[in-house]
Amino acid sequence: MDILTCKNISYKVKDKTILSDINFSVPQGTMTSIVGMNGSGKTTLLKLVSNILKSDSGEILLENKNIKSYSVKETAQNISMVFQNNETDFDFSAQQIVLMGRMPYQKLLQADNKDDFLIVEQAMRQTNTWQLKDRLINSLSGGEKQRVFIARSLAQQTKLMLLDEPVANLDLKHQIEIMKLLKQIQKQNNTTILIVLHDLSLALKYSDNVLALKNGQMCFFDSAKTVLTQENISTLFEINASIVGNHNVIIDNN
Amino acid sequence: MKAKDFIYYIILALIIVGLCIIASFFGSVDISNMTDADKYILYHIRIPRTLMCMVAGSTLAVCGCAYQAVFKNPLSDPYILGVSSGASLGASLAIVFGLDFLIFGVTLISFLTALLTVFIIMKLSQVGNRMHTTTLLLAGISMNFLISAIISIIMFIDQEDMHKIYFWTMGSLSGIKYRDVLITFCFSLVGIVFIRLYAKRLNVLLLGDMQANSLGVNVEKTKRTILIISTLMTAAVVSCTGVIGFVGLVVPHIVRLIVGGDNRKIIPFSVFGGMIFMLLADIIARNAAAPSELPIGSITSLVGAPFFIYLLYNAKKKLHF
Repeated sequence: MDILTCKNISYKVKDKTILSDINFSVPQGTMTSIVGMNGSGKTTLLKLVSNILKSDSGEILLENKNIKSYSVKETAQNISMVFQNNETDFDFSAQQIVLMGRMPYQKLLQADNKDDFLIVEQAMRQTNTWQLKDRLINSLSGGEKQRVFIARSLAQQTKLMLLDEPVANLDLKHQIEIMKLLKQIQKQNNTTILIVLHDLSLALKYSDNVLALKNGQMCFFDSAKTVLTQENISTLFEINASIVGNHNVIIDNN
Repeated sequence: MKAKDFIYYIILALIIVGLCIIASFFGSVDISNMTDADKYILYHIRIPRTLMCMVAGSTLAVCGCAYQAVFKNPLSDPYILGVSSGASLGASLAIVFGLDFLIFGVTLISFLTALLTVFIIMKLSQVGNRMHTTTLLLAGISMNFLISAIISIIMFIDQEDMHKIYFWTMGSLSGIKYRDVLITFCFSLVGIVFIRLYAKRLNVLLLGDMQANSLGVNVEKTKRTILIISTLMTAAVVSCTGVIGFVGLVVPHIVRLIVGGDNRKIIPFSVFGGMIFMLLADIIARNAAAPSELPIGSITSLVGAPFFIYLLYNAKKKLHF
């Protein structure tokens, strides 16, 4: 069953077209990577799906219901988001950050209850961050911090999880650690994941489907192995690409 | 409420009671004999003044918490942002145009000019989706310069009301009446309760607009509501006491160091902290150069400005400069 369907999505800023005529459907419980060059519209697409931005034309359906009809709170109960940049000048403990994931379910005056704390503990254990719960968020390493924000996304208990370049600032070890964690979440929780990735090796290895954007238009959308071929990558990134070994490493021939 | 917090509240309440007694009974005039004149000084000068100290201190401290969350900047404070100056401009205009006879006349005009100042600062300091510290502080400083220039011109033109206007620019608690305390208290109480209700949303706002949005917070509506409420609170205080700076910067910072980053705790503790800070400042202002009285705004600035410099220095160290 498709959880998310985008039909003829277009988005403009003033006269500049950022995205045009995007069509795709994401089956429930799958991981879809969005790839493309800088400025191709990847992050804008995520913002449209997460209802932060509103498309100029077309419609985005979440479980067959137009996303524009969801209130901010309803959207947050169905879609969670992990950002690349989680900088803040204010110190919260890791547990406080994850507890914020319960906000979409709470009323204005409602305090965190036992269930909230239980859900937060489960999310933090699943992401291996429970031992960091009392540490201040700004004292954590990049990888630890990102796992805490993924835990918050889990505590939000949404069907759809969006991630905008979550591994961009991490070293190789932590990139793989995060991707494995996301794969585990996808399988254990049957969560649908839509992730923006720059590293095509990671996209090829971990995602089920790949959506490739170029200049605001959808070039390819299919299984990872079908999309990330030597020819397609060369077209997308305007390089002479090769896939070496067990389809894991992609390099430029020049 | 945790036992540790409860103990903190008890300790703070005891300190406040102690400071209230000191503020009421000690001053340039000895009132220990309790003659009729002494009683008049106690009941009509010192007690309303002490009460105003508590109301103004707690209100400005909570406004500091609110501005820091909306602007996502730990250096935000009604004084530094120029909001207090904006309110004092309104008070000056109200005096010049003779609107100070109305009950809410000064407060209303102060509120409008303070709100206009906030709006200009927001527009000036916004770069893309973020308000950068540098642009925010520069916008605040520029507004402070501009407003003090306008107030100077108003004072020059209307020399009759010069002393009244001068009072607003310096900050003073002399001549406070029970009526002033009551009016400010009403605005403050409603505002503080309201901001406390929004504490959880303020926490989320501190992580950034997009994060707050993804957690179900209607960012624009929340920011607009908080800004209007906290600006109204600032105006209510400034229209009675004049510009008293740095309370909203110093108090939430010290509270944050003790109770952590959660606004649900910072706001109630800042209410107590603001009272203590202002009572101490007032006791010093009245006794340091007795029988003369120093403007309370200069005492809070004497503490607040070095504190601000210390925070800037810390921010610089974080950036490894």
